[in-house]
Amino acid sequence: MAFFTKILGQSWLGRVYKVDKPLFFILTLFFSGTVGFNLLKLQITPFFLWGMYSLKVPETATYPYLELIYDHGHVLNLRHTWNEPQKTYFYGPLGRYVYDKADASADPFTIYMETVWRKKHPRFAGLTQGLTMTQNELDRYPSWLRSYVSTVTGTPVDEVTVLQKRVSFDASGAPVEVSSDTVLHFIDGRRPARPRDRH
Amino acid sequence: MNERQRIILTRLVTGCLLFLLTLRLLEHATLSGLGSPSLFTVDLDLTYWLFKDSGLPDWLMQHRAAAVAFDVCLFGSGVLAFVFPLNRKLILVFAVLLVVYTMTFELFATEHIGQMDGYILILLPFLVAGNRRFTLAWEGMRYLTCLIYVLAFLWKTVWGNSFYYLHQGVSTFKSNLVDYLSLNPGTTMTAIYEWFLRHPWLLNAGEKGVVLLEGIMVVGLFTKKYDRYLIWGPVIIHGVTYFFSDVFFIELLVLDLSFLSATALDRLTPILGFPAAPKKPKKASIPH
Repeated sequence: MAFFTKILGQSWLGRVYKVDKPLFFILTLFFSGTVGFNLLKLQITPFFLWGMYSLKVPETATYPYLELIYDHGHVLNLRHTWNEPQKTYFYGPLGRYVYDKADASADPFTIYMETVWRKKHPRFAGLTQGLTMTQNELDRYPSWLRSYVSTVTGTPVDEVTVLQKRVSFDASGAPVEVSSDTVLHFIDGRRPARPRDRH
Repeated sequence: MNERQRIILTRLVTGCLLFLLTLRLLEHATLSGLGSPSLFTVDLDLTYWLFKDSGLPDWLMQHRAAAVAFDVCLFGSGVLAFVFPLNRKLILVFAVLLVVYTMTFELFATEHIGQMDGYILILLPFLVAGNRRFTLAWEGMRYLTCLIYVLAFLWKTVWGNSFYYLHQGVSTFKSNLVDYLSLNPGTTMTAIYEWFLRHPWLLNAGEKGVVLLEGIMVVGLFTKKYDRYLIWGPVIIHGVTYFFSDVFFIELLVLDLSFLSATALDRLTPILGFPAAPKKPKKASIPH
């Protein structure tokens, strides 16, 4: 017992305990919380989950990506990895808009909140009203996208088209386009038509 | 850690943060550059629920002047914390603004971005008063850095299954780089990437190597003897994933600074060791 007490006393947390007990409790709580929430697989900031790329990414015949075209065929090409903050803002919300088909009621989080969470916790339902997207917010998205493309490209942009492309890789490793679908098209920020034309 | 080393460390950390924030500013990815995004997500993170319910992020994004003022304050507090590294109030302001920025960015980016977690965590030890207590808190950041990589390893090997999928390297590579390869034919990087696609076992082996390197960081939880080697673990991991997974986890490397030894900090004295604050002039003695 004395041996373990000595080891613990000499450890980092043991030294913190000797110097500053409140700091010891804060740090112990933080480290326990970090491990505990990872075990629970639930993130509550600042207890972050560190499970990036922990799920299998199955190898498939084709790989999809979204191609954003603005004003007369200019392709938005963010070619550097350090462009990632910009890429995140283009393709995160865009993917979500396309996935939800511009319909707020199709959002998986909204569906979960309405069908499960608010029924389970009716007392707190009022506090969660602002946490799900409204149709109005989704309708404003094309206009925001146009303005962000204008900011990033430094030119006023009127027309934006988004294609969902599917690509396979040939034996030499070169990409070969398999299909291209228009998933979003709008002019001057007006509510988009969503044709599903196959090119 | 003595006061001079604390000064150098604070400047190193705030300097790195300012560099990364400047990169984001140039990328139109600070609040003033984002316009008024309308889509958002909070997921099941209760902190984000409270943050969104507070109305602050919506107010910041809907008022252009507020977003510009926020950016000015964010950079201003960072610069002041760099110049006056012993002033904990300035560091507190910078830390709070950094948290607000990170959460607002992630909220409207509609996804949680792992590499930005470092922005929320890194300044916390600098809020602790007293060199002895600060040294212990900073040592905690080193343990947290090791723990993060160990948890990432456990997620891939115990709680998840990606480590046991032998094609994970090439499938991640194709998924993440499909747009680059399609939009940039004929570049040197495309030629290199296509060579790797012709030798997929290298990508798969590299992915397993990165996971094992994350696991090796467990050593740091038990001894500091190998810190001079462990410091390179995150650098290699994020350097490799930068090129082969097209992810910018370089931002998380601010946590890696916690591996720097006191000797390494002393070596930076000529660059970052300028006085923390002008010394108060001595009172002139009054002749009796």
